[in-house]
Amino acid sequence: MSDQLAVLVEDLTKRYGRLVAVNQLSLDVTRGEIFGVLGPNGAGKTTLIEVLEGLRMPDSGAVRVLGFDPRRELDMIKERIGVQLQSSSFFRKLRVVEVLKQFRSYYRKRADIDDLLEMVALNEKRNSFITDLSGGQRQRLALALALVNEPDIIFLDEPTAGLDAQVRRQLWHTIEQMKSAGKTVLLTTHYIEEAERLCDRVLILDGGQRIALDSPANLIAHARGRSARLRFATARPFSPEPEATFKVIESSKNGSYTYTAQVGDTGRSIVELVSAIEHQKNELVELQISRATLEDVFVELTGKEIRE
Amino acid sequence: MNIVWQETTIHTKIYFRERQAVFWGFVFPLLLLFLFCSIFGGTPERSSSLVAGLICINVMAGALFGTGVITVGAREQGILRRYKMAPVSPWKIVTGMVVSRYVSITLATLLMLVLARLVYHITLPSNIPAALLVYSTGAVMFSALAFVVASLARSLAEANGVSQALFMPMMFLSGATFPFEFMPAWLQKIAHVMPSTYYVSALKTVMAAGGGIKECSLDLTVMAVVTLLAVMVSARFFKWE
Repeated sequence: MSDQLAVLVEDLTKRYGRLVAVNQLSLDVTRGEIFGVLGPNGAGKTTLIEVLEGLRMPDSGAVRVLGFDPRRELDMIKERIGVQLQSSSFFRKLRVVEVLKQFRSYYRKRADIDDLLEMVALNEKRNSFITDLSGGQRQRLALALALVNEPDIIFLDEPTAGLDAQVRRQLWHTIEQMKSAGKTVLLTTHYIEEAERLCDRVLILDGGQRIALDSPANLIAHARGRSARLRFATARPFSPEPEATFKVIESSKNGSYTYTAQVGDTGRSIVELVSAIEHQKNELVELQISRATLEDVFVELTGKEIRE
Repeated sequence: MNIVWQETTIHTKIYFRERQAVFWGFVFPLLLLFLFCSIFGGTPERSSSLVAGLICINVMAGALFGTGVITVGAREQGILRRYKMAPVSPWKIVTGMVVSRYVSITLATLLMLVLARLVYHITLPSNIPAALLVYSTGAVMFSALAFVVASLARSLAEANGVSQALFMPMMFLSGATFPFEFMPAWLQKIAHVMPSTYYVSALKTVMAAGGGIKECSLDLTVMAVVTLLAVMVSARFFKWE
């Protein structure tokens, strides 16, 4: 297999009793990319990641992580991957730096503790007990633990679940730093913004099955009819030309006249809109272009809302 | 080996940082020492025999609650699961935990022996290697039994309940608190099913009578067999998550 592949999954199926958690799933993750697995609770995200980490054995199908088979070469994989579990707990009465040193000692390749603490912004907390850390700080410690062996691939299971917006942004920054350092990141999330902002490619998973796999931009572009929206306001009432490529779907009057239009080709629609307004001797007061989001794509593909 | 040493140090640190653990491991046994010896003591020989029982109680409590219950708690919180992600043998971690508990219990035992010697003039074991062997065999046995409980208990509450249910009768019926001779014959029979009875008997032999390994070879054999069985059961059933 190619050296460029960090992860290869072919026809993976994993069952718990009668429940099929992952169903005939195939995917590959290229080295150096941030790969997102997006789906609602129960979609099979955690099962997939746990199979890759070697925590669970697949029922059928082939799995390779850095070219190694988790069924036979688990220790080789463990040496070279970093893992952040969905929830992380530690012995209460250990200090941050002690936990890092403890886990670092299990590996042949060892990262510098000071660098790690800096990367997750826990320098000031290095001598604090676990009991004295906030939820966000524990999450960051868990992330640092995933990096103690300078891993080639980092698996993050819902890394920002339950964190406030500011802490989440900090973590995103850290994850982007990992990518710049040449590492492969595979993360699961049910935050659409997270997938859209961070990921090079996103796998949309639902009911254990692959719904889509592409870059966020392509997923959004391919979603039918929802690729972009224009919101604009005019000084006087506006009526679109009959042959216009955009379609007004909402209008309201609030001081000025406000419209929302669905467009296919954003550039062309803007030109048409501006010339139509000029032609009608109207005046453009405001113009906003909003791209469709992954959320729109997700709803369209699965027919479900992702948030609980 | 380095990992085992490291885990031992880490778990010893964790232990001494928990005030509750230090109270039950160090302060409480000394309170029992003063209580027992001032009520039932009287002669150095009687006190010496009481101390043998107290050592057994201390080892049992340290292993069952300090190792077994704590391990189940750590599993329930998902702490143990994290170790599975690393290329480290789980048994090194377990060994580190057991050795660290052995260290803390032994320190408490030594402290108790010194105080009992100073205050109640107990006789100290004359055959030190034999005393060490007996003491350690019991400590290993109860650690192994604690892991049996940790392997079979499905929750922290269950582990606690089972440990209490084992600890109480072993504390009262194995000769650790009340002398055997005061018990009716049927209770004595029950007592002989309990591993602690053999531990107390061997401890009394090496402590009070100044005996050696030969005098307690039966007790040692029973304890070795129980340990072996317990290790086999825990190796088969112990789960990390």
